[in-house]
Amino acid sequence: MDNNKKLFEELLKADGINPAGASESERIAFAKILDQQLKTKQSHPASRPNVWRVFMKSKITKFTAAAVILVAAILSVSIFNQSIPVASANDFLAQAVKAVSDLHSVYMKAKMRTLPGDNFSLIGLEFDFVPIEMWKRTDPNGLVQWRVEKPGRVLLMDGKSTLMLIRPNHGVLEKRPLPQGCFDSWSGRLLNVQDLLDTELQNSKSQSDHQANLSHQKIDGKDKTMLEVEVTAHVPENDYMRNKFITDSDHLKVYQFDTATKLLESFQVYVHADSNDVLIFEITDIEYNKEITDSVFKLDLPENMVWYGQPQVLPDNEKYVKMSPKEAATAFFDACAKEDWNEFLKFWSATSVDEKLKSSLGGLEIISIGEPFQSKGYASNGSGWFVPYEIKFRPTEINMRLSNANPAGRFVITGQCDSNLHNCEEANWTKEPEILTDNAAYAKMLPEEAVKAYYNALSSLNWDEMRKFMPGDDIDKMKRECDAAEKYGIKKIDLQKQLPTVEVIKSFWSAEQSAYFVTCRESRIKKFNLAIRNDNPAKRWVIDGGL
Amino acid sequence: MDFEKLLEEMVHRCRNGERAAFEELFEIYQPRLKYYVRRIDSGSTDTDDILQNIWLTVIKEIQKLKDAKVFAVWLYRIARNKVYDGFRHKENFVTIPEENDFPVSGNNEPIFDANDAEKLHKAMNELKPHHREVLTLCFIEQMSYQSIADVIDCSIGTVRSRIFYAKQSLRAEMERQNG
Repeated sequence: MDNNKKLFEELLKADGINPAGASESERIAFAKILDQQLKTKQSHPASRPNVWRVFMKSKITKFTAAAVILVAAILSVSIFNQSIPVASANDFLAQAVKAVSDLHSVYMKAKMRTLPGDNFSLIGLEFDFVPIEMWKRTDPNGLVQWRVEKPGRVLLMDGKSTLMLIRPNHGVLEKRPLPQGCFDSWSGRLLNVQDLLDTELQNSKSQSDHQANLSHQKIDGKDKTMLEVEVTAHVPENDYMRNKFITDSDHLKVYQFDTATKLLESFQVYVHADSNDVLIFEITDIEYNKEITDSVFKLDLPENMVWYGQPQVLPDNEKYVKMSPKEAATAFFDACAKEDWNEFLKFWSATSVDEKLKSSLGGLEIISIGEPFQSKGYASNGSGWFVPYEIKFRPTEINMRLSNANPAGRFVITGQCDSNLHNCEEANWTKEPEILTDNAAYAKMLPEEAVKAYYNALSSLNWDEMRKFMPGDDIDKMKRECDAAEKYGIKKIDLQKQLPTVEVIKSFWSAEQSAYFVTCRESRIKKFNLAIRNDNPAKRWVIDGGL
Repeated sequence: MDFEKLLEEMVHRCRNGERAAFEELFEIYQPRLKYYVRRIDSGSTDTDDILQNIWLTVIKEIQKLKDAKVFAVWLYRIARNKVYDGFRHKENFVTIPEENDFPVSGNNEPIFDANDAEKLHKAMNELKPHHREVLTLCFIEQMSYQSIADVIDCSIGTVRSRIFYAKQSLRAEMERQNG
């Protein structure tokens, strides 16, 4: 034994300390501290995915339940018995970054709880999953092209310019190739697997609010490496922006890599909600070096495109620069009320106003404009504000289509059409309306009485009563949206206020469509927060969202 | 694998939240820390409490430790702060006087072997706390002067002179004890 070590040991012994290690009582005390601390770190509901959760996302879900339970039991043993990390999270990430550096293409399918037409980063814990597809390729000359798409939006970089199409006809064009994740595309960043992993690597090295944990599992007989990254967003519980974007939520990212190739195989994001964890994003399929056709990187645009861009300095720019957020919001809604679309465009950074927007906002009535507020998660340079508003839209005429040609013999709503009986939005009847216990009373109703009864039920959010006139699936969807709004802090009473008030005008039979119609005049109130910001070259307020 | 590499990996594993790694660190450092804490706070009856506080801080803060190589320095700094926090709470914190600079070289430092350990230990207990401290870090962790300077937050020159005077005092004390 080396002399110094012997001296050290003898000194400890002289003090009654066993140099070989801690005493049993010290170990017990330390174990308690560890229990407490490691539990505290993981005290968020399932901040580390349990075996079940990992399983439900793996291909194992195709097995029968019994098989899953059996395999889960076997795996849970191997997980907890192997104190694996052979390499640290950082080492493994470094290898994974290297593994993707030679790929020439990536294709991913994913699903995300978002809105089909809203930006790619918006999330909602109560939203339904929306499918997302992503493509990226690098040609032999090093030209990079990529595309991210969901039902209402496409982001495309064809190698020369970058385009966002908001379907059907709104667009943003940048005449230069932007990187993935430009504009508002959080999911687009996923395409650059190398950068994504590199960022995780840097975060896990340097940021205390990113905690990485690495473990190994056998899935379908193959060795997989799971990387869990726990992220604390530091967005206050009562902040308006909390849980509206992944980056503004406390969340857990779970990466699954093939241990042999080091390639990413799956990825999930769970947001820690009040009572449980919500799966918010999941890559459902990922293919590397797949041949991608040229047509993927081309977009046919409609002729009536409305282009968004940076606001330009106006001749009377100073007038708008001097406005407070509240004054700007008021001026914007005032322009809508007066249908002054030139004035509207001073707050709307687009080349023109499309007809749909004109018809929806034109002639509105301002009920109130509240006091502006800011959120840590929105425009952190201080240039962004939310302005609470309450407006009443101009009444519109709609025609409800009804039918009683069903076994219950009562009038139910089969669609909603415009004033010309065109552009009908179909009700989603997947099965016949059921015969109610008090069916006779409903079967006696005339078409206009059925419509009135439906709107009465809607005004009090009486879901069961509404189901007597509309398909259950449609009602369920509305209920989910209302629940989501409530979770965002909108009170039920305010929700009810925002429901359309409907006046029944007349009913008639359309021989052309072989259906009954009830003409209604619908008035709607909206109470929400307008997002405006002035961090643009013209330094004036532009509407950024919340309409 | 040498101890430094092993330690580095252990720290990485702790930062990944691996319980077993914390337990390994605890096994290695708990005895040394206990010796160190007792030397700089010889009158303390709450050594165990101080040690628990130290480990609590280690578990909580290890994510912030950017360079695993300096773990020992970081750990002893935490330990020292906890002990001196205790002094402040007890209102008997005494500022450590600076020794005059003294030309010293590492070559004439006395060498102790294992047989002297018992006497050494007894003699150390009679030294001033700040002398005991530098000698403990020197004997137990075999820290470089720079590392000791980092732990006790002073210049390397102060460490040199403090160790010199500490060893002088230690020799005098051992001679006194041995008649």
